[in-house]
Amino acid sequence: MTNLNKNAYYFLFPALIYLTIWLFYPLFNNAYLSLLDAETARSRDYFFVGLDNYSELIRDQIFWRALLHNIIWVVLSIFIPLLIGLILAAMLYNMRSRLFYASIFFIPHTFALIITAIVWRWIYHPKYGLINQTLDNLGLGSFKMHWLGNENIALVAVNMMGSWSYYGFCVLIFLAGLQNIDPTLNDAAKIDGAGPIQRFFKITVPLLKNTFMFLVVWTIIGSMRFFDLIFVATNGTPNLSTDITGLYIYRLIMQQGRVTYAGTISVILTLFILAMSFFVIKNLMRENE
Amino acid sequence: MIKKLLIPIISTLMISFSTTSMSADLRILKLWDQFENFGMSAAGPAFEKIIAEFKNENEGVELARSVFGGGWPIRNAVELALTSGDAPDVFYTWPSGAGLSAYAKEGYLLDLTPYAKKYGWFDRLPDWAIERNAFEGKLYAYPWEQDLEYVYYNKRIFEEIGQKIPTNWEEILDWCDNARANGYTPISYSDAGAGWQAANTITDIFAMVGGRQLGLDILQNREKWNNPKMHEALDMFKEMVDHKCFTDGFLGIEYGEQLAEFYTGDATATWTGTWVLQSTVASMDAADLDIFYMPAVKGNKQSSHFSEGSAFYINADTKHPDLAAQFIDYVTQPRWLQTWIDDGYCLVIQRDELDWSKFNAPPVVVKAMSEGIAFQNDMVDAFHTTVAPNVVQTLYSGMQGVLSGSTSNDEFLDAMDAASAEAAALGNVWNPGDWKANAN
Repeated sequence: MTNLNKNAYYFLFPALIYLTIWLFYPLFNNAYLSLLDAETARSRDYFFVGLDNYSELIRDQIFWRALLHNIIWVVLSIFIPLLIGLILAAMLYNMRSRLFYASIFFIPHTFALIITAIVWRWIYHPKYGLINQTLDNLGLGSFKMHWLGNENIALVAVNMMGSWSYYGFCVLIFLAGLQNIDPTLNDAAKIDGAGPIQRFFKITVPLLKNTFMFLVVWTIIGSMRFFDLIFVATNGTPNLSTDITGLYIYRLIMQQGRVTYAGTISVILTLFILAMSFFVIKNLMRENE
Repeated sequence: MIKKLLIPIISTLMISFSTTSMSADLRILKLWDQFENFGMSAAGPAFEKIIAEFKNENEGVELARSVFGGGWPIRNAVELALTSGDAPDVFYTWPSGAGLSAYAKEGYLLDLTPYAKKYGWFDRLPDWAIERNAFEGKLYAYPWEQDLEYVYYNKRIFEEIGQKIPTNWEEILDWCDNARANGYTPISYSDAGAGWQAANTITDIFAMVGGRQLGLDILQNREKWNNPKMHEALDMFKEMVDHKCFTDGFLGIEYGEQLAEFYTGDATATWTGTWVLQSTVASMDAADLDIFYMPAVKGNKQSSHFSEGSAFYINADTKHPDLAAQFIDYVTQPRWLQTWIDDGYCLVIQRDELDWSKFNAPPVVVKAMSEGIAFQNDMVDAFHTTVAPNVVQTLYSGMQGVLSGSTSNDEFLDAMDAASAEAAALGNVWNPGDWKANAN
């Protein structure tokens, strides 16, 4: 091993220590906990039960429903803030003051999600909220809804809060990606008679695949880990229609004392995130090749 | 050189010695409570006065106090602290019945029976309160603040719309129709967030038709949740929803928003309890505010729900058990009743009837407390403060499903029975045992 290689390891060492303490150890400890149980909740006398927690998980309707909500959240978060981010970035790209506007769009992302949830709760209020009052004033009162009180739409309503917070980040990332595209490609296409929409879909979008991949993976990880916005906005209500796996884990630990079972769900969640991320990266890399 | 260092060395040694002596004499009692100066359980002004006196009368004792939000914030904090071995010496929180048993069984709570005998707590507390906080014959908590639920109403609006206080079920529904016809929300209401509000209301309605004994039988696992009276209560609750008695979209409304709607005069009333007496009195014109308890309905006795709002517990691992018990005894002594009620608007649990004429709290406060106490023997224990934690979760989400129409009564009640069976299998049951034998 050359001196250069050895030095590289020395520089990596602090990061490895950090990752071991804060990532690898909790990960493996959690996986070990998921194989344990106790006679009663809150007991600290654990014993080995193998895969019993996992077989309980298979029958747990609350978990599957929460996981479904996480997946819906992922899909909505990919289609809404990402697409809005892409369109806005494309519109801003050729503007001189693009950074100014990008900064404006980024402002919601700087707010703590708790603040976002509190403010949006009032926007969604069925009586005093901006949305229903605006609909009334426009003579569209028949479209008023109980945005956070209706099981059928509450999850989408809460997702809109998250999308509003996230789209500005996507604008910035897409803008950065657009700047990596060779402008002569667009110029050549223009000369060949391609219109703006054609150039956007045939040149810009394909060349933004890596940026898109990064944002999709980032969105998946963020959506599966989501907690604070939903905790403040609805806490999983009404009737668990906005419940997500993170909230369920929280209730299991904080309100029922079922630490090992919560650990089991965490393991499944981690594997799920890894699988989804791997699938996305592999498919996009294959297309790149 | 040595001489030059002598004075600093001697001074340092003297300071260290005196500090060590002070540390040896100083006892620090770590306390977590919910007595804020606003919001729920806002008896902060009273509690601060009392603990200041405790410190004055007990030299060498310091209190390391943390105040948490009432309701689930303190309960979650205590849950985490107990299971991680980092709980305070004394904590004031709220699971009793089967909720308490979950902690008592694991040895997290100190058995207070010896202190209860020493300080005479069994003579101070009514039987119902001891039973809620006893497990297998031992007392594990000192119940303090009594929760009662009733209707706060706006007298001015009632007069404006020609509404009288309802005296039966049909008049309750008529009140809702009248309020709506006049552009008001009849009863400001909420059930978002945790969902405990509907859990309280279903307890109230069940109390109105089911009665105390059936309530006890259900909560102590002698009767199933799926029974005709629970069905009747659920149907009555849904009837109120159909009559638009509650805030539109209440399943998405939070408790603070519910109170705001009433305080701002957009609702004729709100159906909640003693835990927001302080906030409500502070937020409304005294001339507009009054209360009434829901009437007797359908040939049954007048009833409502009650429980201790919260109780004082001692951590089984505390290094100062005697001091902790002494502290609890001090703050709950009869000499402080006036402070608790007049300064904190806190209804304290007492075995003996109180002479309400002696208290200087606002009339609405005295009325809320005195009228409720008069029929507390017919009241039903609050479901959500009594059942095991897993049953609480089923109760909260299940009630929302019933009220939204997505869950049938049978689905909900069968789920409650299944959750109760699961809790019973883990030993999380409300089992006060023969505490009276141990009390003597």
